[in-house]
Amino acid sequence: CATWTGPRPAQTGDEAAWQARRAALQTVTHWSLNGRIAATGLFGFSGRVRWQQRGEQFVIDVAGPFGAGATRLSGSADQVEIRNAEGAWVTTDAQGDLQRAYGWTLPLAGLERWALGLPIPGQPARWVLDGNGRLLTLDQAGWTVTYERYTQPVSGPALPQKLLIDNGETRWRLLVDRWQLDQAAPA
Amino acid sequence: AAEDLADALANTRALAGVFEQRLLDSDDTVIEASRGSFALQRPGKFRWDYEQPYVQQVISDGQTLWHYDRDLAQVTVRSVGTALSGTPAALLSGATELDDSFVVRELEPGRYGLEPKAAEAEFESATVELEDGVVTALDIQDALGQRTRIEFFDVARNVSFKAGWFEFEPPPGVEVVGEAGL
Repeated sequence: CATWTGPRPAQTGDEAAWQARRAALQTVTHWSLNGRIAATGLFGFSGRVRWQQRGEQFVIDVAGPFGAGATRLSGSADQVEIRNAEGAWVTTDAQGDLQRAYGWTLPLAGLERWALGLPIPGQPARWVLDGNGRLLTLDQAGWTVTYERYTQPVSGPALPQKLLIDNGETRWRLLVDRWQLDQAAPA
Repeated sequence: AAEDLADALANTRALAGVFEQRLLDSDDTVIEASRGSFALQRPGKFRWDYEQPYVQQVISDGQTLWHYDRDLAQVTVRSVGTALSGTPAALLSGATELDDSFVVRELEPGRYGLEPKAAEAEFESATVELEDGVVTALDIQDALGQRTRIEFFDVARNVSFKAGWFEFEPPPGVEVVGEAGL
């Protein structure tokens, strides 16, 4: 069932689980992940990603084999410093700059939430839940996110381990090897 | 002196062995550790088979570079010219002649510092460690102050490899992603 963010239909089993899950995940403001990321589209890219989120601020490191092309995106979704071997520059259009510089782009504002398995708050979204009250697919901001696998940490809600992010031009696959929630979300 | 590095690399036609690789943060904490087997054949051929913590292969025949990740089921194909220009992986395999691409300084006996001459090199600097003429370690400093340290073990010299060892055949179902111009 595709669920709009409009008036709440009668809560089915997984809908209730989804609402509980959302409430739990929304309290997670400090987290980090280490994983692998690959882009297909006009330009390919595959490499390592390390994402550290502290409230609104993030530090995202992306690098290819042997650390080649290491690039750091730091700041918040509306103003980002992009640093690589050639230097650093600050931009308020990180998505556009990345597309021009590398031929691929990352929906930073979206990924901050999608990586956790949440939609961007306050923006229209369509989603389909899996049987456990978790997102299976999410359509938002021009991207379709498909959650292929979740991982269940010792405490707290399940977290995405393998996801696909596609806007019809660029398709990203993110594989999380290690999650760390710094403020443990209530179970 | 600096020439010792060039000599050591020049007279080693082929190398193979095991490597342990650690990615270190600027304060030397280990971000990620991996290991596997490697093979090098001058000029320009090299192959890194990562076995732990996940399966990846970085292979070059001197013209093309393949970066395959089994879990991501994708191989990125790039021309060596743009992909590893002036990187130590290329250096060790002799794809780029030493003094064309690097300023080499002997930091201490058997340890050499390399600064890429090209401004847009994909890393800041590197050090190569030798022991009786064989490379034992490689340290690559990237633009973010992080270091990829690779240590080599059980190194066999002047080995021969079976045909196609430095080429990648995508398994069925693996997405091949080219770089513009390939």
